[in-house]
Amino acid sequence: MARKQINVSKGTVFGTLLTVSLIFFFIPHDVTKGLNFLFDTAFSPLLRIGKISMPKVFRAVPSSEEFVSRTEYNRLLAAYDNVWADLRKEHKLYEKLAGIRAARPKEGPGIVLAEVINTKISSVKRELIVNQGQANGLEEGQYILGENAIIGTVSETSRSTSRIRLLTDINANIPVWIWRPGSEKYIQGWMKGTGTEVGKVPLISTEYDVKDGDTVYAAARIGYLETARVIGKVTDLKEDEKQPLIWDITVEPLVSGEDMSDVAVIVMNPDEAGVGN
Amino acid sequence: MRWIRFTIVLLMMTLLNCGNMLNIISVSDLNIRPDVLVVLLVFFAVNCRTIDAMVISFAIGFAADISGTCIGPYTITFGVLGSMISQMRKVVIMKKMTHQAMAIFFIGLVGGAMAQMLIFMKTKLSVPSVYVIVFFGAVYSGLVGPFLWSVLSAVSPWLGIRKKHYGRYSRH
Repeated sequence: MARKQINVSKGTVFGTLLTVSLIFFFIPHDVTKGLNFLFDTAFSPLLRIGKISMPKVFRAVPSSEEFVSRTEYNRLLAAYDNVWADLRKEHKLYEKLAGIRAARPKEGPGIVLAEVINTKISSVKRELIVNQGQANGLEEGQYILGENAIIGTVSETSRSTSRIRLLTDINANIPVWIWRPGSEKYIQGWMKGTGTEVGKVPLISTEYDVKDGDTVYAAARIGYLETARVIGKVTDLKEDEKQPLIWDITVEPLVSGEDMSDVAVIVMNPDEAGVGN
Repeated sequence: MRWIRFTIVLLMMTLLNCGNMLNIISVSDLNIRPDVLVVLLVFFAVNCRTIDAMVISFAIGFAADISGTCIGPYTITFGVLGSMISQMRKVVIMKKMTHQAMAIFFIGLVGGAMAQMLIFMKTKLSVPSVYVIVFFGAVYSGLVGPFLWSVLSAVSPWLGIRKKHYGRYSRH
């Protein structure tokens, strides 16, 4: 059977395709992002193949009951640091209540559990795609907990899927407090991702008493995080090469987030968002 | 051109490109990895009829967009660059691996920079030192590309690509 031959010029084909591409480009991202989420959801099992994680055979194995694995140690350390942060907050609240009577107890934050359907680790992004979205109360900016530590924030949402930007992503930037038990004050700063497995806290003057091993917390933020939650530890501290009066602070997250299969999203107003605790 | 077979190959390459499989061969802390879609773009743009090459280039760009951050930037970039290569193939032959590597490097560099600029225009998301990442990504693609090119050459009859076009348009 003879094929019907369609004669179109190269110019017409190119012009048509370019016009369609430009239309795609100028449609707002909020409208087209559903296509990206659809692709991630549809091919999630295939996209997860090859995820980098250290083989179990190389992980520290407890040799006796007195030792725990590094993962377990980090989990317990994160819990310990969070309890310290809570204690500090409770102490401040107690001091306040000693003078004033609190009118009404505040509603606690809700937690939305989400399953990680894809992990994207490349040179320009470090993010997770999870199976909960606007319908479950997720919004941009909400904090993500993984094994007791903050691992990232919600960067984009659709109705039933969301994108989580890990704290080490090159575009991540969140307010943090640096603190060690016994210190009087938190040191405030911003932690930026580097695109590698660590983050940096820039623009902290060397006048501040920062030491290796200090704990870095995600700072409490109205509407997003009620109390500070641990992120990681200062693992490398030196004077900035270009600006000697500024610390070059490297932060290693306690939980990298890349190998997580489930995460918890902190939703501050669960009733408004329709989230049950 | 056998379009259904091409779609299958494109889907496989897109999944390979945006998934975590390539992290096995990524280098440095920045996870620099080759861009297999750039290799695919150059290969098809060089070996297919001009009109087919145009459609394929825009399709590869759309695949890069849908598996990436937003829709549009790669479709425009790959579409324009692929169409340009398909015009240039009349004067340039890419039989040698070094020529293939250079073409892939150049398209990876120009295409990557152009796409990142358009992504910034659309999403306002800027990536610090993105051009360093694009440069080394293009270098890596150029190094790995010719090997993938050989594989694609082997499957090209299955895809309905007639390699004799090389000689016909050559001016040698």
